[in-house]
Amino acid sequence: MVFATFFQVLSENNARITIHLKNDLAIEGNIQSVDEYLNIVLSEIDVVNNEENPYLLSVKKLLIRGNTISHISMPDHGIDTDTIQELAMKDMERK
Amino acid sequence: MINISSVEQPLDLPKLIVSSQMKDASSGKGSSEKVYVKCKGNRELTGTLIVYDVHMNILLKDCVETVTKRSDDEDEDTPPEIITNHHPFLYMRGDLVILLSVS
Repeated sequence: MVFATFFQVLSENNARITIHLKNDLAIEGNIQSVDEYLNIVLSEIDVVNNEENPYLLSVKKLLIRGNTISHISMPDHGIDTDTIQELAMKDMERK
Repeated sequence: MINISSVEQPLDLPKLIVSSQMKDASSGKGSSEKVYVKCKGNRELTGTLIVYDVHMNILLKDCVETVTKRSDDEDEDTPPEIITNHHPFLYMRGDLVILLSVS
């Protein structure tokens, strides 16, 4: 649940992230919401390689299924690593 | 330095790395140990391990991503194309992780 909480915090700050999918599509957008499966809703999206994917040009908002995500790149939005680590440690001790 | 002999279960290794990283950070030591992660799709990552979970989802700080691209039609002698990217923070999904090691 650590990652769900982490992305939850990012969504509250409306952070802009870039999601790279397993099919090499990269989508940049503001993170709106996230759930336990790490399904993510992005708004005001920009597709990184637009020329190859013109069908996404008119899309403003979308939901990405968690299991299609490869990796997510985030700029340093003042991410508080200490709090995340403490949370993760507590989470593990509980199990 | 990570004491490998105290690793009893596989996930004890990232646990040790994270706790040593936390110790380094709280004692003000800037340069903590970096991890090397090999992923599916000829992708390699190096960075500071912040958190992980049971799926081996990982969050890396100051991550350098290296992708090696080799096109099929070229012969073995031509060097592969290497792309490097820097990410302040990178989340990597666990199902693509092949191995994780202390670099």
